[in-house]
Parts: sequence; C-alpha cells; structure tokens
Amino acid sequence: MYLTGNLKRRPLRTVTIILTIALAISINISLSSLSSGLSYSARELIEDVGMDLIVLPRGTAPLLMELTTMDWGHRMWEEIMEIEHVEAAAPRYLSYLFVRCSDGNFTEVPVYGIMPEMEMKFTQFRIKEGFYFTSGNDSGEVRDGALLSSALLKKTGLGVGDAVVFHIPTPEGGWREFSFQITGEYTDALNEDGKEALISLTTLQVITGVREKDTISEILIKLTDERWEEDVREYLTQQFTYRDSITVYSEEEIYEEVQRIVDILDNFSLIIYLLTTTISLIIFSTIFIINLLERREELGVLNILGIPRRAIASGVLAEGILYSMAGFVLALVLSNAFMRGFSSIVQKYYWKLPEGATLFYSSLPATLYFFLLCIAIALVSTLPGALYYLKKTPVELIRGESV
Amino acid sequence: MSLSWLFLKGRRVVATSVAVMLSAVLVLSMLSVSEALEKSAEKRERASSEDILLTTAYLSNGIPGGHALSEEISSDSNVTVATPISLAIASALVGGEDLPLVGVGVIPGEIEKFMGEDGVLFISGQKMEISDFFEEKGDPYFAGGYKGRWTGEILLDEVLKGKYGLRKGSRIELSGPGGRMNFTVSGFFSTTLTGGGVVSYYVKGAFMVHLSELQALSGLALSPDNGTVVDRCWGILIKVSEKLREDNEAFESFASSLKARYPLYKVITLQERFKRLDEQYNLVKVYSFSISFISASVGLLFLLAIMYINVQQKGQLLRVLKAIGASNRDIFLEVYLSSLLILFVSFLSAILVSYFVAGYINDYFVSSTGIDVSYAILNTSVALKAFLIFAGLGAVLNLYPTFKAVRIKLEGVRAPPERW
Repeated sequence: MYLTGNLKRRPLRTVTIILTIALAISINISLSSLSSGLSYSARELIEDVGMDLIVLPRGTAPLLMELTTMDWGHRMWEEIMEIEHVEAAAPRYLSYLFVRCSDGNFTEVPVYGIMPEMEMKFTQFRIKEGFYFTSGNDSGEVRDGALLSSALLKKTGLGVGDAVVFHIPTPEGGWREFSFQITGEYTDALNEDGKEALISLTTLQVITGVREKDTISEILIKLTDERWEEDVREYLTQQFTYRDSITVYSEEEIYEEVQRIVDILDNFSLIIYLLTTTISLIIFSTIFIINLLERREELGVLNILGIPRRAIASGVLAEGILYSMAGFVLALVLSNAFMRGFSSIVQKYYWKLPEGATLFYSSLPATLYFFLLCIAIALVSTLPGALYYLKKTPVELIRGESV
Repeated sequence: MSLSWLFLKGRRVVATSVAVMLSAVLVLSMLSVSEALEKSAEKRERASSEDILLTTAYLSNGIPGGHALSEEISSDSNVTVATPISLAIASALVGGEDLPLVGVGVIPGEIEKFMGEDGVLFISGQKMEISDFFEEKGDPYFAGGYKGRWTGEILLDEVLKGKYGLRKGSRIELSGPGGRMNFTVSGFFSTTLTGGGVVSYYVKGAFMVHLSELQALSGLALSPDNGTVVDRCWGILIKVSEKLREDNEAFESFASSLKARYPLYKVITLQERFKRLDEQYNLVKVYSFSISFISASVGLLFLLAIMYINVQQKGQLLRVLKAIGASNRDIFLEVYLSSLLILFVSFLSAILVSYFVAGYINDYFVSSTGIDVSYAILNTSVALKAFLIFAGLGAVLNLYPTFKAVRIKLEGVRAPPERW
C-alpha cells in the first residue's frame, strides 16, 4: 500500500518514468521482433517447400539459385530417383515468358517448368482451384496445361479453364506465341503475391530452345527420413555421375544464408538497444534520486518509528521494480500496437506476406529478456538510493538539507 | 532576466542534457540511415550514363537479337547512341579457388560513349570506375556470326587484383553454361564491391568482357537446340540527343513511342526510376520516422519532467521574483528559454556525437555487406529534420512547466515548497 501510495503521490514523475521505460523498451521490442520475424519467416517459408536437399548448378549460392542453369536434367533426375532413401525429386527449369495483362500491356513472368507428378510431393506450389496438368496434351491451338498463380490470374483477368498465351521474343524482332489451357490456380508458398506460372518441364525446355541440352535450374529432393540427409549428400557429392556440375544444399544451409543477412540488421539494432537503455537508465535514476531526496526526512522518521533500515532500502528497490513492471506492461502494449500498425501498412501498401510469414515475431525468451532488462534498469537506477538509506542514520536523514 | 536559477542543480541539468542528447543521437542516426539509403540510391540513379534503358523485368537476358535491336534504335534521329549489354554469372578458377563472378558484356566502342571523362560508367545505377580499357573497340566475335576473332580481353574488378595478385596480361579461365573459355587480363576497374561482407558469399568480384564473348560463355549466343543465332542480352542502353533531353514533353513522347514499338520490354527512364525508388524507400522512411519520433518523445518528456520539478522546487524563488516585480512575461521567458537552451545545447552536442555514430554505422554496413555505398549520411537536411522534430515537440511540451511557473500563486510565498 505504501509503495503504490508513492506512485500516486507524484503522478507526473510516475508517468514520466513509466512512459520512458515503456517507450524505450517498446523500441527495443519492435526492433528485436523485426529481426526475429525475418528469421522466423525465413525458416517457416523454407520448411513450407517440403524439401530436404536441393541440387543447384556448381558454385551457385543458395540465394542466387535462379540465375544459373545446369544441363542433362532428366538424366540427373533419373539417377537421383534411384538413390536409396530418396522419396521424390522434382527437377525445375525457370524461364521468363511474356503474357498480356488485362490492360493490354505485356508483363514478363517467371514460368517454372515442372514434373507435376513429382511436384505434388512438395508443398511450394499450393493448388487453390483445379488440378495439376498432365504433359503432352498437344491438341492444335492449346498445346498443354498450365497452372497460373492467383496474382497472375488477377493481372491477366483469366480464370481456370481459359487459355493463356505466352509470348517469346524472337531474334528477328517479333515473337512466337504458345497457348496453354489453364487447369488450375495456385499460390507460391515463397511468394504469395508472385505473378508466375507452371507448365510442363519438357514443354518449357522445347519452347525456350534448351531441350537438346535438357537444361534445368534445380532439383528438389525429399528423403524418406531426414536422418539419411548426410548419406544422400555424400552420394551426390562423391558418386553421382554429374557431381562435378552440381552443388548440394540442405534446408538448414539455405536458412543460414538468410540468417547471415538478418544478423547484419541484428548487430545494427545493438546500437539502438544501447542508446535506449542508457537513456532509460539516466531518466529513471535521475527522477528516482530526486524523489528519494525529497522523502529523506520521511524515511528517517519511518526508521525512528522502528522500521529497519534494511526494510526501507528493500522498499526503495521494490518501488523501482514496481515502476519498471508498469513500464514493461505498457511497453508490451505500445510495441504490439506499433507492430500491428506497421505490419498492416506494409501488407496494405507494399507486399502481401506469404502464409506463415510474419514481419514481427515476439518469442517468449525475447519477452523474458526484455522483462529482465526492465528489472535490471530498475535495480541499477534505484540501488544507489537504497544504499544511501542503508548508510545514513535517521538523525542524518532528518537533519539533511531539504531539497 | 537570468537563467542562473535553473543551473543551481548542476548534476540534474547535466543528466537531463545527456539524456536529451542521446535521444537526439538516436533520432539523427535513424534519419541519417534513411537519408543515406534514399539519397545514395537516387544519386547513383541520377548519375546513370543512359537516358533510357530498354530491358526485361528480371535479370533474364530476355532480349534476343540484341545487336540488331540496338542498331535499329540507334538509327532513330533522336538517339545519339544505343548499345546492348548482357549480364551473367560465371566462375573463375583463381589460385585454386572457384570464384563466382558477375560479368558484364559490352561493345567497348559503344559503351565508351556512355562513360564520363574520368572513366566512370554507371550502368543502371551501378558504378564502375575504369582505369584501363579494351584494345579492341568492336565486337569481332559477333561480327563473324559468333565464329569471328576471339579477343579474349577481360577487365577485372580491382578487388580481384588485390586479393589474388592478378596483373595485366594474366591468363584467366572462366566457365559458364556455354563452356570454359580463356581470357587475358587487359585492365581493371573498381566497383562498389569490397570483396568482403555478406555479398562475397555470392560473388567474389566482377568482370567485363566483349558482349559476344560473354554471350558465348553464358550460352546466350546460340540456341542450344539448333545452333541458330539468338544473340540474347539483358538490355539496351540508350543515350538521346541533347535537344530531346532538354525537352521533357518530346522526351516522354519518344519513350512512349519506344514502348509502343517494343511492347514486350520495359522502357525505363530516370523519372520512372525515381518513382520506383520513392516507393521502395517510403517504408524505410515511415519506420525510421516512427522510431525517431518515439525516441525524441522519450528525451523531451524527461526534459518536461525535470523542468516541472525545477519549477516546483524553485517555486519560492519564483514567488519572490514575482513579489519584487517580475512580470509573467519575464517568468515565462526565463523558464521557457531555459528549457529551450538545454534542448538546443543537447541537440548541438548530439550532432557532434552523431557524426561519429554515422561514421561507425557506415563502416559497419560497408564491412558487413561488402558493398561500398553510403549507409548513413549526416547532412544539413538530416540535422534540420531532426531539429524540427525536436524543436517542434520540445516547444509544445515545455509550455506545460512554463505555464505552471507563470501561474504560481504569490500568496504561497510563505508556504513550504509544493510537492507534486
């Protein structure tokens, strides 16, 4: 009661201390949640693809996987499928084709050449409507089936069952057209807003002129059990016929690549943590010391009345912790409001985050860390005051110059 | 009028000034990062050597017949020069290491016309400072239908020179989807790559070769299926005539005519790049402004509280001043100017500290990303923006303790100091 009474006695000072802690900690929470959100989303999205290993052209870093190609894709795929413990392998070839939008303009879109029966074992491309096409359905004008992402369907004004025409420019300055029947609509787990399409691997190789060399971009591998990861990787790097033309990465290694970039942001945030924590310490300790000096006589009287000095000092510490707790609770409220507001601005005006991804992510350990930081700020700020009361006699306190 | 009463509590004033200064440092740092990201990108875009870039949406080398298309565009009377360029990733075996390199394919005689007198070339905002150049200015390998003379000339990134001891005349083998090809180093150029940081995990450096030789190396010259010439490139750099550049309306009309002639490709002008940059950096600006506003509020709230405590604790002094004839205006100015003085001095010190903080942030990002561009700029505009936030908020918040001081009752002159 005495403690809470002190909080009410000087409302402006109480509000200042609590708000200072709340604002400073909420900056820290939102920054930490931003980097946690990026890490968390990266892991979620990579896991969403449902692969254990990925085979890329030799020397390709995971995040540059779309810029390079390798040849003899089908032969590679066949050999990989024969490896023990491989449940599925999905070869893909990425090319860029042009499609006419509903406004009459052309747009260039990524088109993945895939093997539908293999791609079904992975979860990057999620069918929302319709079904995967079957290859080789060449019947006059409509050559084959295609799946279009929801965003591309919206952009082109097409729907499932319609025909989509892809354009490929020719060296002579014109273009060739290839029609496909849209058999389904899907979303890409890695890029929910992506305007993209899926067609048969062989068809894409033929229309882009790389069938002869059987060019592909990557092969996703799913194992019967994760524990075989090292065995399969060892086979691929040591016994695989095409071992000199490939690089193998695990899901974890791709995540580590993303984390390397998030770490840069994390380290930068340290400067801000340091500044905000120092500011809170200065403000908390200054106002708290002013408060204590003003109550010097009162605390001296309490001591004379029989309350031990140790109890008075503990009360001072408890008062500080009470301030910091109130600040922490307010910080949680403020940071959540800020993060929600900022996320909705991003989602509304900039980009739609894929399902499972989040811009900010607050984990329990991080929340606990900031809770402890608040306690630490309170202790460091109030400890000098508490020690002061431990050292002084009641007479010294009462005689002390009033401030 | 004297401000001395305020400074009777020296340690308190110092603590307040330090807290306000640190919150100003935070504001200045956040704003300088946001300024740098936007302004350095804008500066690079503005320095771009081309007026118009005809390209595809992705780094896809999606324009076939690049040489012919470029010639066709060059024949337009509004165009001074147009040249095709290609981009590709290739790997080089240097010193036993397999180095992934990013390559640019150019026609030297044409790209030279896009370079400044100092040998600086900006391709789509990417700076290249070229010290030595190709001897062969044409593209002879293409001239012979991709069977012509192979020059093998290559310009390398300075980073590779320093790190791997490569010299003019050194031989280097590059491999790409088109096979393995030999080149001889004919010079060096510097880019924003430092050879370290996170970028070095992806590319260790850059190189520049004749366009057709890069096309051959990266399988962009001939169709892999039937061997016919496809001559794929990433874009066509276009420099328009002085007359057209100065006439905005005519320039826009020319850009639109290019869009109509080549509907598959993107026609990117400087204005469009700025618009894109604005969209990209708006989010950074919103985020940094929010953090700045919160941190400014923290520091200024503290200043408000301390000023209020001062007014309350020095209430007797103020009453005496009033009793001996000080007007409300005098009291107002004394309290208000004191708080603004603390704010102003703290802000000035913050500028000095932020200068070093901005330098540290810059060095940190350059070393951790491996790209040598500005990441924090502390200029007059940043200082002014931060000052406006501080002065605006401070001026409003400090009215509260000031009015409390003005309204202090003279009757209480005999009363003990008021507690609040």
